[in-house]
Amino acid sequence: MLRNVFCKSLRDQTRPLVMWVLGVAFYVALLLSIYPSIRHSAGQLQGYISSLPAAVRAAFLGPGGDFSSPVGYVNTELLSWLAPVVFIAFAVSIAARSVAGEEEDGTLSLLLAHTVGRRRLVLHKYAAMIVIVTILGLAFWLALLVATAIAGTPVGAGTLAEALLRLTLLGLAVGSVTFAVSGACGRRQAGIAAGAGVGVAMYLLNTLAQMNADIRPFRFLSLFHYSGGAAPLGQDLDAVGLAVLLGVSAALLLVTLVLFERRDIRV
Amino acid sequence: MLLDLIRPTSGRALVLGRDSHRDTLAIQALSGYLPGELSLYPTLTGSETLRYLANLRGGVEWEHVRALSERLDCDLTKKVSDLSSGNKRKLGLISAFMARPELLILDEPTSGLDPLVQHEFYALIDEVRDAGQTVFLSSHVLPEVQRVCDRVAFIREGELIALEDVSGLTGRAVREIEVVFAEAIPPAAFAGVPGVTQVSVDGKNATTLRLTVTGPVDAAIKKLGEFRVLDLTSRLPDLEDVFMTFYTDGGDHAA
Repeated sequence: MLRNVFCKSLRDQTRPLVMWVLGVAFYVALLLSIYPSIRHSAGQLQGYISSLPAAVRAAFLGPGGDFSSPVGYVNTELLSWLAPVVFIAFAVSIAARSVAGEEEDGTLSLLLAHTVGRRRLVLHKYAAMIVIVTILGLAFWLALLVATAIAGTPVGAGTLAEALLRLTLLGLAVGSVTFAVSGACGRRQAGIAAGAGVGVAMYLLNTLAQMNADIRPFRFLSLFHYSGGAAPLGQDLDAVGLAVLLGVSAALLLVTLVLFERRDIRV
Repeated sequence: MLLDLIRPTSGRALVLGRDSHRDTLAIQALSGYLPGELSLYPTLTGSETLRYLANLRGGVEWEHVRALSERLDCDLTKKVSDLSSGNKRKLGLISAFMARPELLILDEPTSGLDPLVQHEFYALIDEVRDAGQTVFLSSHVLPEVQRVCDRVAFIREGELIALEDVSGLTGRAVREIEVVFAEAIPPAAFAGVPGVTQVSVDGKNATTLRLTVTGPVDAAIKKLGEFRVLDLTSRLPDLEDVFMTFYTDGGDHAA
């Protein structure tokens, strides 16, 4: 695990990764274990939800607000806002620790003095982030697959995989914002602020766009629009959405490479 | 800047005949670097740290690493977080020396090292110098500079203000001598003595004399012999003082 910067970065992130995976598995298990009782009273619940003002429904439940089917339940309770938050928060924390973490810890100059090279350092750190966030996506997928099966409400493995691919890419795209900002200025906090700010702004934009016709045309500016919005589960994968998420990430990686190449390293 | 960690506002640097910005990796491969403030990974052990750095660099013989760590008396099995600053410094030194680089850049290499290890380190420097390797060493300790360096450069506010042989440097060292006499002493007695640049008298009954001497102290000492001396302390000249003489001398020459 000490062969190169990529392997070392994976090793460094193992512990946080395990914690997040356990958290996800626990929450998914909890949620699905109470589903049978919720489904039992789904009719009442649905009636209550329908009585809520549309704006409240959209803001807190997404357009679905649907508890009657497993897909609707998982979408509403998990994938509409909690899962994006998990993926974004995880990716942002990993990204902030990547380049800026080493720099603030003072180990970056040591790596660079040992013939790593700036471009290689950025690429290794970015590759490690991709792998780690993808592992969280796989863990999430597996947890949902197992939990829905145990709860007797199976959702197709393929359907789940599509939703989690979207969310993983969403996390990576917002994580890339953090990666670029913290890599360009060498400060963890700046990167976290940027990533969190972008994440919240885009979530709000996407949600408000569902309620307000005036904002609707600007929906395309939100990354959530491309990750399936409030109901990632059960939508067909669209090539444009995936391309946008991947494109944004790639562009931000490129920006990082250019900016990191140009600046002074704090020694 | 030589390793391209920071960039010059203007101009360029050639290291071993290569441009510091364009041929960064080649220069890094040929040099070993010990930063002034060394940071390592607290969760790795000493040997894990060195393995990682050796893997990044490539072409390091592990036998050489082991030999270096034995010479510097460095325990590689402990976690970095459990090491004293001196022991961390040793890891940094080993990482700088392990690839047998043509150029060593060492920033305050002996801070925190105990005297025995310091001695071993000086021996190591002599060996690599004899092997034809170049050592850049930055230090604030004059005896260390005198002990290991052939030439000294002074940098003030990012500007190189002097480049001198060490032998020439010590000739210009400034030293403060404090002498306690048995009886009151007229400061005028030392005014014209060669090398003495400042004289002051204080203490009870004006028996304590403070002299600032630049260069050889011979004349001042001989002059002292004319009086009854009770006590004498000479403060080691530090680089700051030498630096000050360079500064003022430079001014004089210019004028």
